[in-house]
Formats: sequence, structure tokens, C-alpha cells
Amino acid sequence: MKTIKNMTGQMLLLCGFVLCGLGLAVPAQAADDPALLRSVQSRLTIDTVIRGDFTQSRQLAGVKKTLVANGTFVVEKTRGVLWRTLTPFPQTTRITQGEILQKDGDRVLMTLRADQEPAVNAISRVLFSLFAGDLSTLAEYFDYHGRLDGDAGWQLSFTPRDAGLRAVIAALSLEGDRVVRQVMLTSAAGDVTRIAFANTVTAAALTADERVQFE
Amino acid sequence: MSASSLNKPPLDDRRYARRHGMLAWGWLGVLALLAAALLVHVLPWRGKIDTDLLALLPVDERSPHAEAALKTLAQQGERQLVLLLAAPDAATAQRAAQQVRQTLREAPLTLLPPPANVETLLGLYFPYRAGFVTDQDRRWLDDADQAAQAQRALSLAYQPFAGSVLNWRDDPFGFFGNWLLQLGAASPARPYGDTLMVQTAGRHYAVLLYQLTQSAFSSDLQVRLDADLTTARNELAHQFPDVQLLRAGVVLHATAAAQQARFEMSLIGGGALLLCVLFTWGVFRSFKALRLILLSLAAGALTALSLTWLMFDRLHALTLVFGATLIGVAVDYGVLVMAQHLNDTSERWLRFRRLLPSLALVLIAPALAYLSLLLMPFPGLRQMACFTVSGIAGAWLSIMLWYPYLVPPQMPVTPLAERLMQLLRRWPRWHATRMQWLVAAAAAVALGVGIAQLKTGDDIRSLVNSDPELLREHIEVAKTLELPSPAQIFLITGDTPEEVLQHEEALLAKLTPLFAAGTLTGFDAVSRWLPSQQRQQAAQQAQQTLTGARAVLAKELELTDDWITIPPTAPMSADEWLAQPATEPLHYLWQGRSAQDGRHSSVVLLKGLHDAETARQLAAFNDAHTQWVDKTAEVSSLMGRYRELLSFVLIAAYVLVPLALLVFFRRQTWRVVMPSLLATLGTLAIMGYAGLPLQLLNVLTLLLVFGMGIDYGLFLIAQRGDARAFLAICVAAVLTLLTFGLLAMSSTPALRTIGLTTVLGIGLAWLATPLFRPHR
Repeated sequence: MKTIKNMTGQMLLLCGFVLCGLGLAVPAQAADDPALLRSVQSRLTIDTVIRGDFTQSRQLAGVKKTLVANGTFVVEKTRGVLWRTLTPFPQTTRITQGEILQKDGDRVLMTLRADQEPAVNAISRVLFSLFAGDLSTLAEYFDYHGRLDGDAGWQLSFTPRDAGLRAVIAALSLEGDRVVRQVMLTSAAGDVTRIAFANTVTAAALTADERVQFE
Repeated sequence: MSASSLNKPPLDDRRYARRHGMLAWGWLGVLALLAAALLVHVLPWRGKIDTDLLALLPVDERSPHAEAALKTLAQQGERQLVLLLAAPDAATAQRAAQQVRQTLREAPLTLLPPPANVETLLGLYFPYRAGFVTDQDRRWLDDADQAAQAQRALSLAYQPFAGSVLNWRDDPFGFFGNWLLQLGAASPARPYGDTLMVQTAGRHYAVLLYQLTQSAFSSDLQVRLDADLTTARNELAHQFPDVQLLRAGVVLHATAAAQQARFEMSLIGGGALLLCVLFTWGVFRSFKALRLILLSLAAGALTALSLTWLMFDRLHALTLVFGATLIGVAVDYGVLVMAQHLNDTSERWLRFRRLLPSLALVLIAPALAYLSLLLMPFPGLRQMACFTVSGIAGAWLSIMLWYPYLVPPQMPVTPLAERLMQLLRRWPRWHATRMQWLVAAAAAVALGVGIAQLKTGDDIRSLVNSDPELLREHIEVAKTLELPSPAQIFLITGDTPEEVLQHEEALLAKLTPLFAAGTLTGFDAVSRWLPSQQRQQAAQQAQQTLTGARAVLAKELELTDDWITIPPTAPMSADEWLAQPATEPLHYLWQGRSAQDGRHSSVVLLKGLHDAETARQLAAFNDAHTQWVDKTAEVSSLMGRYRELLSFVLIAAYVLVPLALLVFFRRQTWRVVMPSLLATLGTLAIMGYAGLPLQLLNVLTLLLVFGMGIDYGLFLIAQRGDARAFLAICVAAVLTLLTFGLLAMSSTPALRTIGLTTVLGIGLAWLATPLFRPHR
């Protein structure tokens, strides 16, 4: 294709602005302790499917009331996370590679897609590894420190390495034993979300109903 | 003066010779001055040889706004160099980018700072956020009732994964977050750490954006950058074998063109000179003859170079390449006088006076033909015209003035010259026999059929060539970074900045179906980053309908009452936006106020525009404030108009020049004109049969063929079919064929076209000239 476009050139107009990006592969810092990460990972039971109940409480900046929600969740190793809130109102959030979808029954409330916003890939990857207990993926994006508690327990705190991710997440902490028991997520804007997990079980495969939800 | 007066002896040789001597010395003085001027100029001029192919393009006839806009875009683009490092994974791409940065740290480049991040954008827009609502959310606001409104905010309040950079309280409905998100459509590149990255299916690209420290056409910069990039590429191939380096920038094409032009200039110029010397030596076998010819050539080259350098502020490389063919034309004069000189033992002044009238006539036709190039709106061609006309004139004057002093006293006929002259005796001549009329009729039919098949083609793209590898890389870079077309733009005007933004929004609204259908994939415009104040106010207005829902939410979530109402804020103005340092990289889209008419303007750039059909569709969106500027189409149509204009000039030349020649040649005039007429028609017919389209450059070349072809006829007829005149024509034609034949091998399509057309035209004119020689 020979066009004047290419001839003039050649003129390369790059838009100066870009949205936040989410960092990865910035070299790990000295505070990071791969041995700790390996120990925690060895205490976690990882199977194809993890499911259970959650209680989520959010403390929004400048809002007095603590927002409490309950529901169930399913994580499938290759597909993603299904987050089903039951109270105070039913709502489903599905996080898959390249898409975050929020539904109110059958009505789609919101979709974020990586082909429109590349940052979605990184966000969904972080959230996915958070619930799947995939610590090595988290360690790509975050600096971390933590400790082992007793024979089975552990705690880890993460802070984003990359300015792009820091614009969204200020801090992240995880607690657990053979499964993740509690997550605390502080957004850059100051909203704090605590999630406690209960009745967590692992399985080898999704149920038929869950599989439909992932379609 | 008539043909019969050509042999009259001079009346007062001595007085004439004295006057002539003064002129000859004077001319030598002028040349010395020109040489001095050239020396003074050459040093500061070094490195200023222009290789920008755009210099061949016409000076435009469009509005000053459009001209300024295209110029800004060109300047914005000219100094950019983009490197992409493509790798199977992001980490490798990033490491490779680090290494290339390291290698290029001494290169004549500045790494552009990373673009504004989301925090900067947030700081910039946050105070005005009530006015920033996407079209989609505006439509939602029109439809949603209070319950739906409250539910949307509640969903977001309970949603921990929205990934918003804002807290819920400041953007409970997510409108501002969505508006910020749509800014991301402007570019697929995102900063990862300190590197810009683009991810496409299976490929990760690290982006390095550089700005040149000097002009892309500076040969000093080109040489250094070329070496540095080669080093970077070699190191990369060694250490990161799976990483691919992709380059895009004006400078790369300019470097390739400069190298090509330098190579061709020496090849064509040197080759033409060598072949001409060899052939001339073969014909005349006289050192003195060769000396006069070479001296005239040198004088011609000196005149051409110094005058062109004095008259133009840049010298284009193509001028030098085209100018190299000057050798073929300038050498004609020397050849003409030398050939007449063979076996002539009469006194040199007598010989000179005999030659003078034909010599005077032979300058006029080619000089006029080359001068007609000056009529063209192409700066490059004007420079070529200046170069060739001054070169020809310099060579001609040298022959005229120095001939009596430098001509060898005697020149015997050499075997090669004898053989060429013999050729004339055997050459067919037009006797108007029945057989010849039959052949002529058949030839006329063949010419007619060929010319009837002739197509025209004015597409500028056919004249431009680029290194295929650079082109491939450029296309991949443009595709990966989703770069808009800089030559096909919408120009938006208005009396105030606000009007410009409103007109942009009106246009983008009209383009929505094209974006939805995928005919266009995106756009760049200031209104994406700064909605008009009208739109900002309307968005604020629309949000007033949320008061009910906000009251419900305040009660439910225990917020204070002052949160319920959104206090009106002044919308962001263009001046405020422009004053922000973070918006600097976008200012090229904003043309601002024109000093000429005080109106404001901006450009809207489109992405994914590839076909001419869509471009035509877009032209339909023109109105009083919106102008579709399609440089590709404009240049092509301009080329077409000038092709037509030049065709008329050519036809006029064929009518008017013979009329003028009637004065000298009376009833023999047709013999002078026939060869070039046949050559022109023959060239057109051959192009028709070969399927070559007729372009502006062909017509231009046919004008040159006209000039030289008339010369052949004129000289042969003026010398009454003398075999020595024929020899001169043979030598002149062979030299022209050699030089333009070399030009036809150029890799620049424009020069190739000129070379090929000249070879056809001159070849035919040469073959046809003896057909019409008179009876002795």
C-alpha cells in the first residue's frame, strides 16, 4: 500500500494522553520474600474450583453507614470469578479474562472490556488471582510483606508497585490458612472493603448451573 | 533572415572578431564570479540538500486555515520517531525497550516524557466533573426514573470491583468515571512502569517515542541516527532474538531517499558523463573537440548549480538527479558545431557565421520547453526548470563565445562518423509515392488505435516510492498505535473557541453511524478532551433531575443533606484547558485563532480510513464550519488539471512554433515539425498499447521531446539535409538516449517516467527526422 499518508509520513500523531495502565514485571524489591510466598502458597489448597459464602462490608469515604452485603462466590481456575450478592439486593459480578460484567438478574448493569480499555486485563487478572489465591501472580503487581501464623495460618500485605495500579488500589491484605479467609482492599480514593469468606470448599469441576453462568 | 541567407559571408570579420573576443572574456569573467559565489555558498549549503518528496507536490490553492492545519500536522509529525519492540510477552518487550533506550542515549534524539497519567487527568478535570457525562449516560439520564437512578448508585456503592479511581461519594452514579474511561479510546497505549505498552492479540509492544534534535532532513542527523539505529538493531538481534524492532518516522524515509538519490546521482551523472565522453571521442577522435565540449558542459554545470543555489533556499536531491541528464542536452551544442566542422577547411570565423543562425534557433526550442516547467505549481519542478535552463544557456553561451578560439583547425572524418553519415544516404525519404502513402495510412491507423487506448492516471501515489521494508514497519506501527491519517482531515472553524467545539461535536454526532458500522474506527479531536461549554452546562442541567434519587440515597446511606444538591460550577473553557501543561501533547489538534481573519479553528483526525469511497462519503459532511481536506485527492485532482493544462500548452506549441518557423523555412516548415509530431504521437500510441497511463509528467516530458525533436528537424533542414548535420543529430540523440535511458533506471517512479518517455520520444524523433530531409 503506497499512500500519501505513509509518505507524509510518516507523520505520526500519537495522542498524548493515556489512561492508567496497570503495571507488571517491575523488578521485585528487597522487602519481598519469595520464601515466605512459597510457604504461604504451600499452605493453600488449590483446586480447579473454589466456592463458598462471603460477607462484604464497605466503608465509603464520607459515608457514615457501613454497607454490608452477603452472597456466594465461585472461582474456576481457567474461567474466572462469579460473585453473587444475595442481600441487600441480588446482583452478579462476573470477572473473566478481558471482561468485568455486572448483572442485576438478566439485565446488564455494566461491562468493562479489555478491547475497549486495556487496563481491564490487569484489573481482572489481579482480582482473579486474589480470589484464586494465586500469590505469584499478585507478586507480579505488588510489593508484599507478611508472616506465617502457627501451623496453618498466614497474613500478607500488598502495595502496588506501579503508579497506574496505585491510582486504583492503595493497599490490599489477605489472611488465611488452607484457604483465603479474609481480604481487605483499600481503594486509592479511600473506600475500604472487607470481605470475610466462610464455608469455603474446593472441587474438581463447576456445576452445570455455574457453567452456564460463565458462558 | 531566410534559409537562403545562411551562407552569406561576413562583412567585416576583424571588427566582429574584436567584439566577439570581448564577449568571450566577459563570459569567462561571469563564470569566475559564479564559481566564487558557488564556493562562498557551498560550505554553508552542505547538508542542506532536500530529499523530501513532498517538495514535488504543488503549492496548494486551499484556504489559509487548511494550509496552516496541514502544516502544523506535518511539523508535528516530521520530527517524531517511533520505535516499537514487539515480543511474545510484556516483560521481554520492556527489557528490550530498556536496552534500546540505553543504546540510543547518545543518538540525536530526545525521549518524549510519558503522557499524563490518570492522576494528572483527575486533578485537571475533577473541579468541573459535573459537566462531564458521556452520551450514553446522557441518554440513560433521559430515561431512568428515580428508583432506577437510586438503584444504579446503590449497586455501585456495594460493588467492590469497579476499579474506579474516584471514591463513591464524589461520583455516586459513575458518570465522571465513565467519561474518564472513554478518554482511553484515544490511544491503545498505556504506561506500564515507565514504559508505554500496547497489547494486541498475542503480541506485546513496548513503545519508545522520540523527538529528533534537528530537522529530519539534516544529513548530519540522518547519518548519525542511521548508525545508531543499526547498532541498536544488531544488539537487539543478538540479545533478544525473539524481539522485533519496528520503526516509523519521516526521518527514516528521508534517510533512505537521500541515500538513494546520492547513489543515483553519481551513477546517472557519472555514467552519462562517461558514456558521452566515450561516444563523442569515438565520433570525432579529436582532443580539441572533446575539450570544447567538456568545457561547455562544465560551464553549463557551473551556471546551473550557482544560479539554482542563489535563487532557491534549498536544493532538492531530485533536481540534482534530473539535472544530471542536463549533460545529455547541453552536449548537443558542442556536437552540432563539431559535426559541421568535419572536413571543412574554410576560415573559422566564416564557419562560425554560417553556423550562427541555426545555433541561435536550436537554443530557443528546448529552453522554451524547459521554461514551461516554471508554469507548474510544483516547487521541485520549478527548481529543475531553473537548473536545466541555466545549465543549457551556460553551455550554449560557452559554445557560441569560445568556439572560434577553441575549435581545432582541421577535423578529418573518423570511421565511425563516416559510417553514421553513410546511414543517411540509405535512410528512406518521404517522396509521397503511392507505396509510402499506404505505409503512412497504416501507421496512422496504428497510431490512432494506440492513442485511443490511452488512459490517464493522476494518482499521486503512483509517483511516490518508499522502501518496502520501512513501509511494512510503518504500517504495523500505525496499526498497532491506531494512528490517524494526517493527510485526510476535517477542518472545523468558528468565531469563538466555543463555536469550534460545538461544530466539532455536531460533526462527531453525524459521524456516529460510521463509527458504529466500523467504517471508521476512531477519531482524535479536542472535544473528546474538552466538551463545549454548552454541552457541559447541559450535562449539569441533566444531573439536576437526580436530586430526588440523591435525597433517597442520603437517607439510606446516612449522608449529610448538603450532598444532595450539586452546586452549579462554571464550565471548563478552552483557555483554561489550553493553559494546562498536561494538555500540551494535544495542542496540535487545536489551531487557535487565525491572524488573517480572526476565526478559530481545529482539526478532527480520523482512524481506520482506508478507502476512497469512505473519503468521498466524508466530503458530503462539508458545511459552513466543516471542511473535509483530502490532500491525497486534492493533489491528484490538481495533477489532473495541470495535465490538461499542459496538454493544451503542448498543442499550442505545435500550432504556434510552426507558424513562427514559417518565417524562416517557408514551405519547408512541415519537414521541421513532422519528426517531433510523429515522435509525440508514437510515444502516446506506445503508451496506449503498453497500458501505461498518461500522467502530468509524461506530458511534461513530451514538451521536452517537442523542444529537442524540433531542434533535430530544424538543424537538418537548415543545413539542407547535409550528412554532417545528420551526424550531429545522431550523436545528440544517442547521447540523450544514453542519459535519459539511465534516468529510466532510477528507483524514483517520477524520474523513471520522465526517463522512459524521453527515451521513447527522442528515439522516435531521431528515427523520423531523416525521413523528411529535403532534396539536395
